[in-house]
Amino acid sequence: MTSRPEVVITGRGMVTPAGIGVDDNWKRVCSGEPTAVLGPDLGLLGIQVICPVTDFDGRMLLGHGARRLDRYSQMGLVAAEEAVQDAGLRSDEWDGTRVAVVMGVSVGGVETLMAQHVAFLNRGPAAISPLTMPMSLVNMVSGQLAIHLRATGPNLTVSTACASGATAIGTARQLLQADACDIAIAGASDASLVPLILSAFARMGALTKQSADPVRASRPFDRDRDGFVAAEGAAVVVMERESDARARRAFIRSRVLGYGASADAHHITSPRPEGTGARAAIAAALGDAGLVPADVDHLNAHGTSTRLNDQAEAKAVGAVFGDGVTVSSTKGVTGHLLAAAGAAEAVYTSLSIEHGMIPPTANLENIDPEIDLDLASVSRRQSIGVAMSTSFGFGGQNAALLIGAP
Amino acid sequence: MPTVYETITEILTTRFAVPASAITEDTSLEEVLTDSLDVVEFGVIVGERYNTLVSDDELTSVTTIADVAALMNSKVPA
Repeated sequence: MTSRPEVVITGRGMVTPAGIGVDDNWKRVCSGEPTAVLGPDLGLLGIQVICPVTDFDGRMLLGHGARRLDRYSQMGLVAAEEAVQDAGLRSDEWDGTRVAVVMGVSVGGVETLMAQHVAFLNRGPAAISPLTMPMSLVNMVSGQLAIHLRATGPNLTVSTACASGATAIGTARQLLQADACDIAIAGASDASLVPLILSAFARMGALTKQSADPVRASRPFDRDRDGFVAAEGAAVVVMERESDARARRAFIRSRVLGYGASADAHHITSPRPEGTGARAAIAAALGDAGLVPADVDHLNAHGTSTRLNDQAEAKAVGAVFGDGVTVSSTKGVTGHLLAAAGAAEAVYTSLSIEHGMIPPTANLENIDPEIDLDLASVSRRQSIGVAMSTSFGFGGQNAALLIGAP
Repeated sequence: MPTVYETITEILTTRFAVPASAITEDTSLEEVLTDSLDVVEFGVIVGERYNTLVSDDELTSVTTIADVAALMNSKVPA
């Protein structure tokens, strides 16, 4: 196992409800100030609480060409541009044939689809925009990144629902280890805060009903949690083999030490109650890295604030780590970025290691008595050598990333 | 009320970022639009503006902006 090349993160970019740009994100998640606001009124389903990226203007950030991109692709591009710049790379200078793109996506350009469906119903088939497919396809953010960054190497979109971001980073690491590319642009993007999707999540009972007090609605691991707060955004990292990064004297942000994945094979939405699927992914990541649980200092949990996820995840984490890791969920601040959650949280995990700081689990006032973990309800200064980020998707898809200090 | 030609010019400049200086009655759509997708998109937007639909056949029958203006004048009663 040790013969495989080490893979590192050299660039990071983010567009989330916590801010546009990594620096703003880090300040906001460490502040513990939630980003949730009241969203659309869905009639009998009530007013939904959401975490939107309120000040995102794709045309302002990307120019006029942004009109041919759905919001989810726009966010992915803005995050990727920041990551490439952060890595000290220039797309007009690199050998594009050796640059891969791996993005995690769930529903893709659903805002475009919704608008076109309205046009279809009101004005008929001939009123449909010819840009509908190129804007809404789930692979299009990866295709757009290739165009914008002259990245002509392997180009993938992976989809494991709310684990997509972690799956993308794990898959990109494998491409680098297999020498299929020299640089991998990896992350995830999601912009699906439209009434149809929110209604669909609400009908599943997945969303919080705490609209009377939006900022307290996302409360991972808290006794009074009742569902997640849907969010949108994108996060992207630039990854390279360590030897390449060192050769070009790049600033290494973090190492990606291990990746593990598993499937519950249990239920379309509910996790295995004992968290055995999640536990398998965690164990696989540890095995991949050649580490033992005692090596891990911090865990950025999936921690969605739903009753079932947090309970099953706590059992999985407790079974592997006991109370040996400091656990935090940044979703108390950001809400649940869906497909992009795993990528955003991998970046937060990398930042935690860099700054020696564990962000708080916002709104964690009374830990669920059935949950026995060392949870950070306030930010905690702590030296972190190795940290894990967990992500779990509907369909029972689980992913875990192990990230380490450079 | 703006003429059809003025409306077309406005759509091309604001929606497709075509410089006003590049637009004359003899300008062909393919010359100023990015690709065939944008030509069809342009037809959708012009149709929407006049509360009508521009068919694929109508769109392929026009070349210049003057042709588009004539088409829309024939479709939409003054």
